[in-house]
Amino acid sequence: MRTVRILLAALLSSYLAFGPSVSLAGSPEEDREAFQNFYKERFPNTPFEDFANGIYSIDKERRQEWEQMEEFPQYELDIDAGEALFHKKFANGKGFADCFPDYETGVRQNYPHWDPKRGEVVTMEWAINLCLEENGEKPLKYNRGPLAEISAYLAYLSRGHVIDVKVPKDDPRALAAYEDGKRFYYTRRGQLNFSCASCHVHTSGLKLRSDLLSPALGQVSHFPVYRKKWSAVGTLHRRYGGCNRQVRAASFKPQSRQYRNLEYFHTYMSNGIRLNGPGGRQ
Amino acid sequence: MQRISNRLRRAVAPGLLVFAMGHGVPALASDQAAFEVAYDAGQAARKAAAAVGHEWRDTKKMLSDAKKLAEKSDFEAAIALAERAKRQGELGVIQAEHEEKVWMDAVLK
Repeated sequence: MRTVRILLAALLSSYLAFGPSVSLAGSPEEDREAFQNFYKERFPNTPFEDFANGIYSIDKERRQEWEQMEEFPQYELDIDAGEALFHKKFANGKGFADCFPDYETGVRQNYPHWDPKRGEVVTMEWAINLCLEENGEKPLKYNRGPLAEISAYLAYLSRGHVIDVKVPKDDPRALAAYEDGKRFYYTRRGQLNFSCASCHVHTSGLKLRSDLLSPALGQVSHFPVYRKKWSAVGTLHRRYGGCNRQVRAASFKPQSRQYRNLEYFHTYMSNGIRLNGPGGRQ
Repeated sequence: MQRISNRLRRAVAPGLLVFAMGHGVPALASDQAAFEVAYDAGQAARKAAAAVGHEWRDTKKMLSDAKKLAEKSDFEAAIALAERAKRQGELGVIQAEHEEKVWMDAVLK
């Protein structure tokens, strides 16, 4: 009897010591597995790879409309514009191809990534501006316009590559950036008290007025996107800002540390999905 | 006589104007001061919310609109709006503190 009591006490104390923390802080891989399993169970008729198509993976009628739109996609003009901008030489004679030597076979799958030298998450849009600045050129505005067009061109060349974001285990700063993005994703903010997860996890597939809330899984695969609402192609961080403002929270600046870390977590959750950007959306 | 009368009128009129304005000045000045206190408190609350990443979308505009109302001497509305902005800032901080404790409950496991 005494042995049983000792065993029970030991179990209880180990639960109190380790139990809650283990259940709260999953590793990135545990998070990804739980995240993806959630959508597989919530939308059992959607094949895993089809989550790359956002709401069109879960709604037949909207998918038909979208497939018609894709016959003459509006983002084609942006890809062409991006191609021209990408190949325009800088004043020093160099060009984007010097910064992105593998652009022809796709580079978007390499972003976002942890840069140990900078100690920060580098996104593709930031890398485009870093390239300009390192070559003595003026950086471009992040949300729309030329930068989004160059991004669309590079995304187009990267189609078919599998998202494979890594959180290096040998650098605790990388895990801290991932955790920061995760915290942002699940934290409610704004006057309406919504988190990213409120809409795109816990009520994904339901309607908010006439809008269907897309599953978070695969969301990042098709950015930048041409949105009818924008009448232009726009970046992922533009969308983040729009989402924040929709819940009446002040948005952060595009490519701010907050949004880059958010993109790091958000993209990691879609590891295994194929890139299919740029996309066309409402 | 006509010339003297005109001179007198020119001399008295500014005095009368100053006298008339003088009666309104204390009230206007205290309203302005009350607005500035409310506005500064609103800005401080907004900045406190921003510092913890929980500024709300409309707070900055509310304060800017409050300033415009004060410029039009609509102090009652200006102070009310600044106080609403202050409340938004305070709620943003409360939201941040609350979320710090509960955000992980929403994480998929």
